[in-house]
Amino acid sequence: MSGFNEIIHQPIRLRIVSALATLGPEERVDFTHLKTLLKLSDGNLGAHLLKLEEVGYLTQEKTFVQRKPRTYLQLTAAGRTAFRAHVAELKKILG
Amino acid sequence: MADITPAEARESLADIDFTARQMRRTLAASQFSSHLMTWGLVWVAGFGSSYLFSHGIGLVWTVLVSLGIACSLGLGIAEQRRPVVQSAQGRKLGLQILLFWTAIIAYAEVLGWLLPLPTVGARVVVIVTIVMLGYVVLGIWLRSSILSLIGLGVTLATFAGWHWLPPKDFMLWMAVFGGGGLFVPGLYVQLRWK
Repeated sequence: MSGFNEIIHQPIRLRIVSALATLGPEERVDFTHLKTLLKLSDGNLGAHLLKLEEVGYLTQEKTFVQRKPRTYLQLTAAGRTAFRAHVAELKKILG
Repeated sequence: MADITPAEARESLADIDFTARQMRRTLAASQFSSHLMTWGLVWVAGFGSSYLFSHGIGLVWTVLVSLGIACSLGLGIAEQRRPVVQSAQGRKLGLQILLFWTAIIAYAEVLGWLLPLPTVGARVVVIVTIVMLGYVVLGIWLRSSILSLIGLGVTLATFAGWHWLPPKDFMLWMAVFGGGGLFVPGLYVQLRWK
């Protein structure tokens, strides 16, 4: 079965998942940090996060830190597995 | 499966590597660059004072190290309150790092005083080497090669200065290569990786 993943392969989503995959399984990153890293607008990043969330690859946790709203993003186990399979497939194409 | 050419696959893999590296770097910048700069300044001021003055240096170092510890604790608490990366283990890890540095500093100070070291320079070498071992271990622990490289680099610079320079000039050397060896990478990470 091919590990190639159309959802993850979209260039912006590939970068989102690549960034989140560098974190540990229990770790979540701040939305603003990821937005700055990937040089995306709130709306653009939000739309891709929603897509990843819909397929169960990512969770968003909205919380308050010092009375200010913050969103933390975390790759799910399914997202991590799909990303690994996708990377393996890309490597297989290279031979 | 989509029709992906080897060139596209290569480009995607390069993009993955680049993004992962950028992510690790920006996290490093947000998590420890300020600590590096703080301790770099402490060392520049401490060794600079040791070079310029011969009396009251113990008191100067006590004040500087106390300020450094207070700054590092403040930075750590601020990071815990508004973490860029949040995890159930985050607070525990912060506490572990605090205990780790407490142990390193305690060992450095105790060995520096207890060992029958012939000169102030020799004492500096022992203390700096133990503290830099802390950087090497922390780099391995947190998977941050720059911390390990700083530890190794400053250790080598310390041994080189101690071996080749007169005792007084060694203090100036340590201000530049010890303090600078912490401050400059910290500043670089802060400016270029963030």
